[in-house]
Amino acid sequence: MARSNLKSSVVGSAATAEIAAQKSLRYGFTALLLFVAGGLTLEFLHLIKAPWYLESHLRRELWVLAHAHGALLALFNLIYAALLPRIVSAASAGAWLRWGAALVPAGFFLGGIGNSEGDPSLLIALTPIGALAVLIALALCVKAAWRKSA
Amino acid sequence: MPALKSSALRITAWTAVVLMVLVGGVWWAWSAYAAAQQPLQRDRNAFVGSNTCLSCHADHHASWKRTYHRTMTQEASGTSVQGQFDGKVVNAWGVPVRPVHRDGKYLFEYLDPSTQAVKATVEVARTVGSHRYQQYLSKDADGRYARMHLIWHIGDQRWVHYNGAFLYDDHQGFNQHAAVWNPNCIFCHNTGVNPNITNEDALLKRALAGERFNYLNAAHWDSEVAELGIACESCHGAGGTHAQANRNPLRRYALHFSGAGDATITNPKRLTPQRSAEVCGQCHGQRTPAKLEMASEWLRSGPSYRAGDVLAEHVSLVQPDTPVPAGDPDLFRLRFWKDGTPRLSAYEMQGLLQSDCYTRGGATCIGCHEAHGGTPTGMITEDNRTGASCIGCHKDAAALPAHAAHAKASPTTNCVDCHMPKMVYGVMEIHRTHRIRAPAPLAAASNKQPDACTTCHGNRSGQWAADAVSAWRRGAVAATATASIPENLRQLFEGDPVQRAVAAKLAGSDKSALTNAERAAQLPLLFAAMEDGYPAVRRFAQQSARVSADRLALPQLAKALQGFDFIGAGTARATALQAIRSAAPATKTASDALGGLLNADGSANAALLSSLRAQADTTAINIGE
Repeated sequence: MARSNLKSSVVGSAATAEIAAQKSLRYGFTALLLFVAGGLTLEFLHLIKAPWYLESHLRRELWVLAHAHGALLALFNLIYAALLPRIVSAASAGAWLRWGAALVPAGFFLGGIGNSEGDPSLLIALTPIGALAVLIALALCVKAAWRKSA
Repeated sequence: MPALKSSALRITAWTAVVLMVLVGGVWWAWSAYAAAQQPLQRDRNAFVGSNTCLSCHADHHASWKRTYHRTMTQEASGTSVQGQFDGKVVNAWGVPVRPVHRDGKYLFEYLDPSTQAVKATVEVARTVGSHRYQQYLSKDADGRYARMHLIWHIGDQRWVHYNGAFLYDDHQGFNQHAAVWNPNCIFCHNTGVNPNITNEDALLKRALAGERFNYLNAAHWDSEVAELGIACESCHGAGGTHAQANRNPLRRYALHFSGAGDATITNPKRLTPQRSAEVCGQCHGQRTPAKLEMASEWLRSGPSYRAGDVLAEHVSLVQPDTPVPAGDPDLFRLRFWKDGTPRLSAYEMQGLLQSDCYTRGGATCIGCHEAHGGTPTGMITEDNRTGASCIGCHKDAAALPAHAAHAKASPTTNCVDCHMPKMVYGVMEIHRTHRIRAPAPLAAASNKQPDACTTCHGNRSGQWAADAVSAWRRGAVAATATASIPENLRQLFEGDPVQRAVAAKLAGSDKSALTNAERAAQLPLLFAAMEDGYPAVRRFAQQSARVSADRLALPQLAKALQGFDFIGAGTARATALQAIRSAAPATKTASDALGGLLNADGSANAALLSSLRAQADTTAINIGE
């Protein structure tokens, strides 16, 4: 009985991990496409010398941060999806990672809209929330990794 | 049971962490809010420097950084020094000087005129100016920064002895314009100024004891500035309190969303037109301390005015009737045209105060100029440079008869050409007046001062201009030329040094209404003006002749004009002039005798020129910088 429960639990975890990996793969590739295209857009703004972008140091910095973090966290999602079969107990981290990967760049991007010269707009608050979500995801992964090795 | 215990423990731990974070956050927010509510006493002397401003105001810092304000005073270095310290000897007023760059130092070697041996070597410590010309300062053991004799003219790319830069005649000594930075230039060319004279009491005792001494040589200084050059806090006031208070993010966001001004800093855009203009006027309006006793305070601890203050409580703007404490009683009077219009640069505030645009319309400096925009030259946008800002109030200006008629004849003429004509001398250039008003050619001629009409129409008299304006108003055709001497040319020979300088510069202006034939006719008169006793007048006449030579496609004449050194020795200048006259095209019969200034063969009427020169006002103007 116990053996059967264990088997069904393992099968259940694997299924959950499979779903989590699938979601992270979808998010990862979609976000990578979006944020790479965003980088191209930023370059285009340089090309046309858009004053509303180039002349606001803070907006430039925030949008570059949005591009860089968005792309990097998209890659994190892909790495997570690739490694999840080896740490299936980290399946619960997937949602945290996806939300974090979305909120961090969203905060940077929106913080650069309606900003003052020295401060981002209030929507920058999404960034630390997202960062917290990423941290939680990483903590869950660490925990799962240690559990597996143990 | 152990699992349940472990789960309860975990929930308790998480709850404790969340509670701690929440309590900490609320405590921080509350203390920040309370701090934001505190009324702040602004420290008028807490200067922090532009680097502190940079962390929050990167865009404004960047737009300021490209200005000549920033580079007004700099420590001497490879990036700041623009002069050619190439070891070539410059002969000036009989003294050979060799600017040389050695061991990373910029040096002036003063040579013996007969042996060419080095008599003295002085190191450049600081530079002043980076736009039109650059002056150099040495520092001595008494903390005194002394202005050195040669300046580097950036446009002309040459050394000029300051006797040639200022509006003085040829009869000046080599050391005539020796000046000390600490009690002079420091005030307007730096930020957060403290001249800090250290022996004022001793000097006072010596003076009271009847001793006569050179104050500039006897004073000791321990001068300090918050920042070299004209930086953020010159126009926004000391920023220490502002920087401290705005570390609080709640305060910043509250200010941002409320749109309210920040009491810890001055924003000229939020001031009344008068207070706003005074921010610029603290330097662009020559002044003396409001009370005599404040002079001592200035020398000890610097001027008391801060951006946003009532300027009159700190300074008195120099006016024609401002009493002169010592020396030439006409010193200040001569710095204005006869109708009170300033005729030197750094009197822009006085000019603005005389303008209806300011007194009735509330126009202020930043209505046209932009401290953080436009081009660094003049800190003005190209649109405003040609009067775009006038249209904000004068919406129907184009329909006025004089405007409509003039626009038809000369589409490139704009508001400022006629309402802010060039009639101000400063830093080896002729600038626009900041007394904005309608041209009055007859009144200007009777006051012996330039006006927009006859400086542009350089071959016409004041009467002609008055008739033309009157005819336009009646819808009639423009007036025909009269036989009178053209006003600008009359002033070129009969005027006082400032008039002659303005006339010489404008005679060849790029925007002159003269045709090529009229320019050619005028050349002999410009050559005659190159014999003037004032180097500045000679230089402007030479420049005008060169503009005309280029316009007339006379390369030989242009080349000959290059050989004329306006501060060269008299004999060398005479030789060069001879070559210039030879290179000029052969004179033909003059179609317009320019009121008799030209002979029938087109040459200059020497007798009439002598007669005009004999009537010239020879009063020395005494313009330092």
